[in-house]
Amino acid sequence: MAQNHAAKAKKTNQTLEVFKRFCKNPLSVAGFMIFLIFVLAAIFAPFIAKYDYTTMDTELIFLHPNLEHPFGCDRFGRDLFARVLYGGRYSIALGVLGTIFSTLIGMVFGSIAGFFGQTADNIVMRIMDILQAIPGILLSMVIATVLGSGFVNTIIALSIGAIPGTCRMLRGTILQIRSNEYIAAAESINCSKFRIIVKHVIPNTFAPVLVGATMGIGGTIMQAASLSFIGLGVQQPTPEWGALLSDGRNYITLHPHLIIFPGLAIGLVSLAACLMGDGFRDAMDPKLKK
Amino acid sequence: MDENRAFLEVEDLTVHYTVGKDTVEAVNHVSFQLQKGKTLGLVGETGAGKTTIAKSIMRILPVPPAVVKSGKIYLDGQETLGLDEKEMLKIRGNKVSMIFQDPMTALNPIMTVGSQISEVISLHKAVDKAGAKQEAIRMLEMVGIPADRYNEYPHQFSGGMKQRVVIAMALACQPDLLLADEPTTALDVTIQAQVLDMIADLREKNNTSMIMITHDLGVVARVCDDVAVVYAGEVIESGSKEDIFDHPTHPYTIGLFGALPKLTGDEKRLHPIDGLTPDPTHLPKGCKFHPRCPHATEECAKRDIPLKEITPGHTCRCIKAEEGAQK
Amino acid sequence: MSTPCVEVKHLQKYFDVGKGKLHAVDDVTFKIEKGKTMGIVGESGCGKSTLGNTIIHQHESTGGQIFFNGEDVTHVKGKELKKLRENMQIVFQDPYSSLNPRYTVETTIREPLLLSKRYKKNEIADEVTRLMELCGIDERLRLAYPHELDGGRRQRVGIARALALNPDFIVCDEPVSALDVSIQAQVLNLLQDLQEARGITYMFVTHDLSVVRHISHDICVMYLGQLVETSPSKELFTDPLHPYTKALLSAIPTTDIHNIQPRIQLKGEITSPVNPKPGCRFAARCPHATDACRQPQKLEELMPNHYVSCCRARELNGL
Repeated sequence: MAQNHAAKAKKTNQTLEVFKRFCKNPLSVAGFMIFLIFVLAAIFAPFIAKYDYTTMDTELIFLHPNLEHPFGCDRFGRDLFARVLYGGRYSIALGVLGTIFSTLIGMVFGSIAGFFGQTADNIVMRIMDILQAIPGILLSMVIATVLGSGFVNTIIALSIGAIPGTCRMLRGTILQIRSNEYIAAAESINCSKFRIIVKHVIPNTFAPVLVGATMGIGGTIMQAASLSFIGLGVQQPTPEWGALLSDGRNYITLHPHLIIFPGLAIGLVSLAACLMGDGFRDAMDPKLKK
Repeated sequence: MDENRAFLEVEDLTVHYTVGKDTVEAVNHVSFQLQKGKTLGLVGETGAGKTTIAKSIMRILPVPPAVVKSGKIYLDGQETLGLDEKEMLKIRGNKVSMIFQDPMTALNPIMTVGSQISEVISLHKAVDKAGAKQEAIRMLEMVGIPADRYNEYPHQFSGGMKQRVVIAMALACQPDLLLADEPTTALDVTIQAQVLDMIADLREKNNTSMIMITHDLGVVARVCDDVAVVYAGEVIESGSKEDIFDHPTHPYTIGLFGALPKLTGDEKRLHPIDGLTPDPTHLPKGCKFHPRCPHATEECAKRDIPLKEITPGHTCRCIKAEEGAQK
Repeated sequence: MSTPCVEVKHLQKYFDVGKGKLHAVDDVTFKIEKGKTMGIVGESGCGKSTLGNTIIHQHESTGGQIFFNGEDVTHVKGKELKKLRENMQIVFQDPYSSLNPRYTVETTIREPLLLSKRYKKNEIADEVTRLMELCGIDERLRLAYPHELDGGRRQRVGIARALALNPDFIVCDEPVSALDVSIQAQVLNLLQDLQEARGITYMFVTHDLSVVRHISHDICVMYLGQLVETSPSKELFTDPLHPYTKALLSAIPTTDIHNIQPRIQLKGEITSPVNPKPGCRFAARCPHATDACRQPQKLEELMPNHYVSCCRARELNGL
């Protein structure tokens, strides 16, 4: 009986709806494609690049771009195309992992502040105030200096600086959700506190968190590049994009290709992430139906 | 200038909004007139297109997404839809002003209420700063706010007082036409009554014409001379207040009165209008009301129904109106 | 005389605000008979919504007593509170924020059934169907999300959720004020039908006097947390005794264009309910206020079942 009725009722799959709306926006689709291309290129770097990214060839030092070496070669004669491709592995991984970590930690603290309020809220928010009082890049620098360089340490350095943003955003979202009447309605039908949090509050925070995280990836990639640029991030000879920039900066006038290609990569991926986040935000707002 | 025209004439106004691939037909071939010093009530439910009509007269439609497809608006004999922005600036505020529904968002929170009023005055009138201030204080007192509150900020005012400040701003330059978009919907009844009386007093002093946009038939009964009922972007019935309240003819108008709980009488049940207002991106063919109409026939869905005059000044957009099928 | 469904005696609810105590509900006493509707009217900030929320135990009361079916339930906790809540439900004002945007119609209505543990798993789906039918929600909307519904339909879902556990008493907190006139009538009729079919007792909170007159058997008029007048519905409109009620009634815009009553002019603004002075709170705007009004007022029965809290009501109305 109930099944019969259910068959007649039309259910819209929300994920599918979001995807459809996302696809309607050409800019966000473009962002998504660019990001996807970079990720795929980084993963399949060994198949795309003809040369190894560490092999030096003294004859090719500072070679300008040509068909054989589309991005040219660096001061040790290493193929820059291969280095940018492989560099994507580190840069994008740093951006994504850094954002995921900061988002997760920010979510935990933001939820504590939002749910429990009062004292817990005060303590958490004051800690966030302290973290935010120090500029993000400076904080990351301090942490990177204390912990030392390296991939994992760079992720930690990047994450901590980005925590307050997520934390504040999530706290605000939760407070806003809690003021909705459906929370009071849930209480009046005897929902336990736990069930209210799990069933009514958390699912409604997914959208803003996902949007914030997607947008955050671009920023984190830039910050990772900045750290390596000043020599605190991933170390040589790992071809992280910031490190490539740092490497080429002394030859900028004579051999601008050393800066242009890694710089373009950083800019494009960050832009792509922002466009994607923008698209998600528009697509996930249930009120913006159609 | 054309002397034969009424003070305000809206002719065949059609405004559409383009949202993605969809077209929202917000206002369709709307025509009405307003005489000097009179009040016209535009009545209709959410999304009927009332506010779009007012914004078209003010020329403050967001373009895009809004597109004025057709129509002419004559204000004091002058066609305004064709004017350029510079000429329109002179008309806005001087000849027409608008009161918005929400007094909370219509005021700038970081400026004192006094300076907001005097700013409006100095923008439109050739007065110096002191003169503008004096005028602003006079306006404040006129709407019943003591002059010593001139230097206070909007957040120090209650909702009713804020709306009175907004009205003072709208009337500061003695406009000939006042567009009031649900000016009292956000207010409590006793405050609403105060504000309505105040608007009436001020209008009488300056012989101001007004268009009152509202969904509340009680407010219409209190302030309006003429009424136009709007449904799905069309005027479906218009006439004097007596025509509409005593002899409602269009099934929708009749339905609206039936759905309203009365303050006298002993009805056990209300008589709601079946169904929902139509989706403005996919309006029904023919009469826009026929899917909800208890008297609809096949004929209603076939063609667009013209406005027909049933008695002098009382028009109705219903094929059955002339057949006398209505009560 | 039968026991009333709900009775409150000297109910108080104060909120701590920065500057002191906000007297949202102050010394309110009334009772609602079984199967009847009590309308609570007043302007914004008069405490009518707080009153409803306090009675259904969303807020803890500051003082006074609440009786439900004759039992004192003012301070119930734990299991008893759960049982009480199943019997006292609420329908909210804003059909947009009262439904979880990630829940379908079915999930929303199913939740109370699931939580009550009264039904077996296979019965729940049928029960949802029954509730949807009862509230006039089309079966094809079973799996729709709130943003796909209009205001009237959402309000029906809210009503179905409140009805799910078969409560004796429902607080309707401005359930139709966000709806258009034609839809409002549909929802009001639904509420009346449900009352007839199930004998539900309503407390109908609203600022719309014509709606409250239509749906209520009795009416309480509140002003800044105080109960100023309570009487049978029709009588309140024909013989209002309190000066505030009179002003309120005269301010309603009626659709009777040939019989527009002069309205009673009120001066001044609503005063703050934070740390109020003793005495009648309407005194500041009342045209008949005297020194005696600054003393605490008593609710007096001036006509059968018609109580007024005004020391001058007798002389002003020639009783």
